[in-house]
Amino acid sequence: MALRETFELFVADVEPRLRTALVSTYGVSVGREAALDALAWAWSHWDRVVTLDNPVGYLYRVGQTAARHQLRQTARTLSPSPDGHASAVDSAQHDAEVAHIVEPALEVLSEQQRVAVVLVHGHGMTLRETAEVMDVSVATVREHTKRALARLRTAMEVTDAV
Amino acid sequence: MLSDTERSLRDYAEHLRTSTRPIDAAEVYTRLGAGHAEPTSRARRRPVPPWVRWSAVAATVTVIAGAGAVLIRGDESPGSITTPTGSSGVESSPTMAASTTPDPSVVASAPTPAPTTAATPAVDPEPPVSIADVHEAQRTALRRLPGFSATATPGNDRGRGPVRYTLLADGSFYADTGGGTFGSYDPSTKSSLGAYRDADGELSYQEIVGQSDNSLPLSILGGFDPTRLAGDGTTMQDVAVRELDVEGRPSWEITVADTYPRFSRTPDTVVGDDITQTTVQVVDQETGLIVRSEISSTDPAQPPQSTTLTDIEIADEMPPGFPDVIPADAVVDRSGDPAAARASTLEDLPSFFARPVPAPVGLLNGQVMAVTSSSISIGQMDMFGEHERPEDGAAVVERRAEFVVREGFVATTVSVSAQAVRAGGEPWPGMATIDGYQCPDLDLDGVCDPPDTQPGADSFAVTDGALAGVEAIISASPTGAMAYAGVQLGPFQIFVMGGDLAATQEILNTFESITGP
Repeated sequence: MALRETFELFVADVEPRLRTALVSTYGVSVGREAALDALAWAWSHWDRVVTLDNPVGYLYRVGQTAARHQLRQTARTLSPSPDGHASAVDSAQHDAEVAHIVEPALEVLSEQQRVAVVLVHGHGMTLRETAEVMDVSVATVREHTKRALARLRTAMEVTDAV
Repeated sequence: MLSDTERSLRDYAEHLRTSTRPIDAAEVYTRLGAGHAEPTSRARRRPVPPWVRWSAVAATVTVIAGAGAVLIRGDESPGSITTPTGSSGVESSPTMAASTTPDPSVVASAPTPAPTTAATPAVDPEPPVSIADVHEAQRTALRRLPGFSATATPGNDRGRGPVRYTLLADGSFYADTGGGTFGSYDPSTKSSLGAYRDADGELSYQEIVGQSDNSLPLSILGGFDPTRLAGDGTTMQDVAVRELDVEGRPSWEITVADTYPRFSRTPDTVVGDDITQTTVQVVDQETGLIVRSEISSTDPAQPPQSTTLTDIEIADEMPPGFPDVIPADAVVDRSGDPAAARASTLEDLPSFFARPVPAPVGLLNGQVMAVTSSSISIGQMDMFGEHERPEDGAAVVERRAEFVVREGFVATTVSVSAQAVRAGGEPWPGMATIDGYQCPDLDLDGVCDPPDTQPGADSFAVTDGALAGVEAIISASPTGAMAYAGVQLGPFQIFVMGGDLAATQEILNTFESITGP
């Protein structure tokens, strides 16, 4: 099979999970760009990618680096989150009503908690699938999800009250 | 049945799904541009091992040193040890960088950057050595080394002249750079002193109190730390080792080529371009010291750097002038890190932490340790993320005691830290506040739970002392030369870094709980 065909199959397999995870972590615009950067990196380093045990997990980390760089570059244009960091949630999503409710609540979570809870409870991924994408253990995902859900409930109640 | 929160998350996920266009391979090719139509062929590389995740921590382990007596000069016959000459001034032009012919016998199969180190081929080729062999031999040699004096000569690119300095295994550092200028670090006071000439030629002085090691003056005046393991802190993806004779002294040359993707655009680059940074280090086999360090990059924004160490003399004491003095009437710049370390003793630890503290009492031998108390932000939790500057008023303050167990220049750093939550403050998400300190409490049972195990990391149970029964998460460098161990005991995080696995386990077995005077 030609190299390009192999890569195209790889993209078809990995891209949905990778994009979903990064978009869940960083928002629509930044997350998709990060997924694209990660896949570009994969094509440039294909000989390395084929040796990886968990390529989607590795590419998620590549995407995290790319997203953080992008966020750093644009930090001045983003509103600060409560802990002083630039918001990781893309402002372009704010046209959706649900985003207005969920996103402020998600901002109180750590990055890992946020992605875990959105993947598991939002996208319906299993703990194992989520662990693979995040390149962490199933137990870690379980704990992040449990903690995130508890905090989210509290945060969303506060939001609703306002 | 879904709760309201879960239903909102479902809706939100659906919103994300419908707002995001899928990415196909064609878009990937477009992103990379015409220059990346096909991936370039290169040697197969190993996946990044879990240890790399700890490399940022391990890379901070500083193995330090100082001045004195017997040694090894470039113009001596190989292996000769001479009594010290007493020379402390700056030597004439370095002799290590004589013209040489590269030895073609590259041991590793990784790509071989163009040799840049001045050296001559070994007359009698030794059996092939690996980077693990080099690390083992380096540590053996460095354990025996009490200290040394040497002349560090930067490459032309650094725009400075040679500097003669002395480094002892306890971390003491001193360089008399002439004309009233000098730089020093005194581990007994955790202080650096510096006298230098500013742009107007006037003498200026600086005193920094609260440095846990000598890395600042050593890197400024010496150019690099010659007592580190060659090629450590890398992913070991592309490592080549070859044997050389440098001025008659058996040596190894370690070349590490580290390739990573570019994530920022410049006018002549694109995102996704590879950047390859090549580090070439030459290790003197007898002393274990790195005697030449070169760093170059394919990124035009990163200029090459090189420093050569010559005229090395073994030393076991500092020169008489150490640590030098700043004139009483001088204007001194004492600006520095507001969260700086300060010297402390074992007896002070319980009051510093305001509770009993676990520490390897038997190993300290009265050593002065560094303690810090600094506000930290949540970003510092993420080893892959951006390390934020401490924020004034942050709710969490990290208290840390750090000390080094030394055997010659082979050092194992032990740190004991805990994160106090300020009165009225909130712990970080996912953490609980127990007895004033924050800690993971995954079961919400009021007891600190051990941290998550990193994928691929190993663990063992500590058998003796205050940590007996506690599970330690361990990982090792790719060559096995250095181990990392992390333990959670109540609110305390205990890290042991830099020693081999056996030494690390031994240290963890020697902890005792200190309850104060």
